[in-house]
Order: sequence, then structure tokens, then C-alpha cells
Amino acid sequence: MKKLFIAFALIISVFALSSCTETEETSEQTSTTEEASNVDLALDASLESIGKDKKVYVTTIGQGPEFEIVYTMLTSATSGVGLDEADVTKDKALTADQVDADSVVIIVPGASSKGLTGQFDKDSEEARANEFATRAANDEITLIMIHNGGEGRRGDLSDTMIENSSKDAEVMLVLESGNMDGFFDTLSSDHNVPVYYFSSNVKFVPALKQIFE
Amino acid sequence: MVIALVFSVITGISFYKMRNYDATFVVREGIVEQTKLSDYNPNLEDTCGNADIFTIDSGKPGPSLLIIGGTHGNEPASQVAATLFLENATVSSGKVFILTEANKCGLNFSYPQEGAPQTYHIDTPFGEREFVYGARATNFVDQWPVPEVYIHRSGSKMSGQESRNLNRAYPGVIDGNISERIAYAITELVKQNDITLTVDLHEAAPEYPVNNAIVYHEKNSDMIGQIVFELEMKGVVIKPESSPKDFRGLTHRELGDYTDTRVFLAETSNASQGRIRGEMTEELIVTGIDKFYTKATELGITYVDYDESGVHLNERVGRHVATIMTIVDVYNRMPEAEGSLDINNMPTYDEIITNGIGNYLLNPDE
Repeated sequence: MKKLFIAFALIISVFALSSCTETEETSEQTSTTEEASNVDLALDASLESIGKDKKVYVTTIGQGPEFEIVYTMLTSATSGVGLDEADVTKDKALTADQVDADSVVIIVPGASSKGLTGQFDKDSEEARANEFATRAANDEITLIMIHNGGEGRRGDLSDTMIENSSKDAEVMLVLESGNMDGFFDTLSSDHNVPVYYFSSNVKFVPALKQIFE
Repeated sequence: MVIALVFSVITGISFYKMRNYDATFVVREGIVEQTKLSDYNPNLEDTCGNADIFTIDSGKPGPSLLIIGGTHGNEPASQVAATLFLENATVSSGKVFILTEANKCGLNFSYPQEGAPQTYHIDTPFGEREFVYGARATNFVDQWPVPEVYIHRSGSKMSGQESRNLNRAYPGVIDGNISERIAYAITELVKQNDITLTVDLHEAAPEYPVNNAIVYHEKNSDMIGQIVFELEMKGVVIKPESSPKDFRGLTHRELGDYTDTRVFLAETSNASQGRIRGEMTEELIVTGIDKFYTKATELGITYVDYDESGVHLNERVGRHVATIMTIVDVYNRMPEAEGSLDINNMPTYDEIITNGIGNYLLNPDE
């Protein structure tokens, strides 16, 4: 009878503990959702004009095509920031030793299985991101990470590339649909890099204007 | 025996009618010229693959555009969007070529055991306009036998069924199977007319990852960012996907490699061609409403959000029309553009959603 009572108590405890865990997870998810709904906000004043009058480079890590959209956001005179195309270099194979000191490098990470062929593979792309991070850590360049590929550019193949591209960045600008699991919140707190979320590509533009104007 | 005979006659008449179905498109006199794919491959004469090519020529020099609709007969937004251009567009500079039935041999039958209706209807101010709902592949009757393995002319090996898929047959073979002969004619159409832009219109099942997407050949990398960004400003969120170099036979790879055209392929989301759908009805084709896809979205196994309101043909056609117009706009601003391609009188995405595609279809009986 005593053994039966102990077994019963154990079962009750297990259920109680698992329901506690569930509650905690739910609360965490709610918190993430609340944060994620806080989108399309202006950047902190400390980020204003950090890229003004500087040479700008845009590259992808992972060969996703979204860096082409970022280039348009920067150079479109009508609906983007309106930077002069001569001042913005777009190169999907850009390496850290090719960029001028005191320039701004925008990395747009996100793995594309179609893009990761030939000279590009997971290891070489992660290494390329690390080289930019090293220069940023040495204050030689200003690194900005933009993730505008949403959920489609997340996952095992992409996440290390994103982390390598973000850890020494000044700021992370992220399409909110890519933060479905709070990944960027974790990155932000782990590496002490501010993160801002946006609901669409178009909504990134005011933030980029703050950085470059 | 008698009952079996009655059923055979009834179904036989139905199959015969579909096999000999001749879609009616409104060809505006003095605006649209009509030629045939057999002008570019004589081996298509007297075959189901000898589709019409519609041309709207401004008479002024400028870039040109080919719209490929109807590659896959079970992707209606493709054909209807091409029809909207055929029946509405005017061109004041440059030239537009339109295929509404790129693979007619996929529009003269539907897949067995799918329960697909042979036609669907769109409400218009003059009543219902009928369109045929076909199959993804060329009719078995017109292309037989199907090999175990299809070997594309590049040497790439595919499932045998893909031998009947027009969009695995490019750049085509002049005397190959019927799908390859059609692909050859379209490639020649592009080459002989030095067509500047080509947009191939498709739809995809919601569980397929390349959805609400635009696939581009790498030589269009200089356009894709602007296209996606400008579409988003029009309310059309679209994913860019680069054309894989080792995925052979598709327009976005082969026309890009074998011709000078700048080629894109656009995909919208069509529940009626998916595997998770429920009953296959005309309503599903048009409204895209399907409770199983709503559930699938809740379970996170679709790449497009489906709620109770579905994804209507208006939205899918609107996306295709907006995509084409944006590609043209962006190209017109490219440094290489000699003159501009000016397409007028096309409804915007918002207008198509608000007013419905039926308001932009002409009455074939007038």
C-alpha cells in the first residue's frame, strides 16, 4: 500500500512538473510574440548616421538572393535610401580583405541550397563571415547584419551563418517572420547586439535612412 | 452489359468533347496578330501542340516580351493572366508575344482518378466565361510510350513522367517527342524575334516550397532586387529564387542559357493541384477555399498561409499581372534598354482584387 502511495505521488509530481514546464514555455512564447509584434520601430539615436558618407559594401553569406533586395533598398532613389550606386559595392563573393577601412559592410545571411554550389559551400561561407566579424571586432569596419529572408532562410544550414554574421555587428535588422522561434532575441542577448524587427522589406527603409543620412 | 455500354458512351462523349475542346479567346481586330508555333517548328503541323501565338505590336521599336501561359493545364492562373494581357493590353512602344495555351496537349485531357472538372467558370458582366482545366503533362494519347527514365538533351536524367512535361523539355528538340517539339518552337520564337524578356507563368501546390515566388536566371541578378522590392510596394510579397544550374529543361534555365532573353518564372499558390486538398471542384479551382489546407496551414506544413477565405484566382492572377508589369517597368530603367516597352490598359493588382478578373475578360460572343 505504501509502495502504491509512493508510485501515485511520483506520477502526480511528474505531471505537476511537466505542466510547470509547459506553462513556462507558453509564457516564453508569449513574451517572444509580444516582442515580435513590436516591429517597424525607429532605431536608437546612437545608431543614427553611423554609415553617413562612408563607403558601403553589401554581400550575402549563404548565397541567398535577398542581398539583391537590400542593395535596392539602399540605392533606389524613389523608394529607398537613395545612396549613389558608385558608393555601394554589391558582391556575393566579397571578402574581408577587399573592403576599405572605416567602411560599412552589410551582410545579408541566409543559406540557399541553389546558391551553395561551385566555389560556395557552408564552411567557406561561415569562414567568410568570421573574417568580417574579426575586422569589425578590431573596429576597422562597421558591420550591419540584415536578415530579410524570413523563415525560408532559417534552419540548420543558415543559423550558424547568421550567428557568425551578427556576433560583432553594430545592429541586426530582421524581417520579423524569421524570428518565429526567438532565435534573433537569443542572438541579441548572447552577443549584446541590438535587434530591430520589420514587417516587410519596405519597412526597413526608414531605419536604413537613419543609419545612412 | 447494357449498363456498361451506356456508361462507356456517356464517358466517351465526355472525353471526346474535352479532347476536341477549342478554347475561345478574343482576338481584337487590328490590335492582335495571330500566328502558330508550327511557324517555328514545322513538326508541330497537325498536332495538338500547334498553339496560337498572339502578338501585340506597337509598330515602334523597343524591347519585347513573351508571356508564357498554359504550360501546365492544371495551373489556371497562368492561362487566365495571359488571357488578361491578350484581351486588354495595348502596346505603344515595343512588342508583346502571348501564349495562352503553351502546351495545348495538356489541355485536352485531365488526369485519371483526380476527379477534376473539365472546365471552370469565371463570373463576368456578360455571364460566365468558360476555361478548360487540363493536366500538368502532355496527353498520353499524343505522347506514348512514356520511358522509364527521361534523358534530357543535356544528359540530365529525370523520372520518365517528366518526358511529358513541357517545362522539362527546353530548349527542345526539333523532331523529338511532342513536348520537346513545342519547347523547340518556343525557343525558336524567342531566338528569331530576339525577345528581350520572357515570363513563364505557373502555379504550385501550397505544400511546395517554391511558392509565391519568382525564379530568375543568374543574368537577371541586376533586376531581381528591384522587382521584389517594387512588387512589395504594390502589396505583392514575393520570394526570389535563383535558377539552379543543374536543374535542366526549365524555361528559367534553358532559355536563359540558350538565348539572349532575360527569363523569369513566376509561381502562385493553387490548392486545386495540391495533394492535401479535399473534394476537387470548380469552386476550389476558383476560390482556393479548402478546409484541409486551412488545417495544413495550422499544422505548419504549407508554404503559403491558407485561412478560411482561401487564395482566390483573382489574387493569383493579380499577382501574375503585377509581376509581369513590374518586370517590364524595372527593365525599362535598365541602362541596356533601347527604348522602352510600354504596355497600357492593364489593371493593377488592387484593381483585379477589387473588381475581379471577370471584369477584364471580353465576351467571346461579341
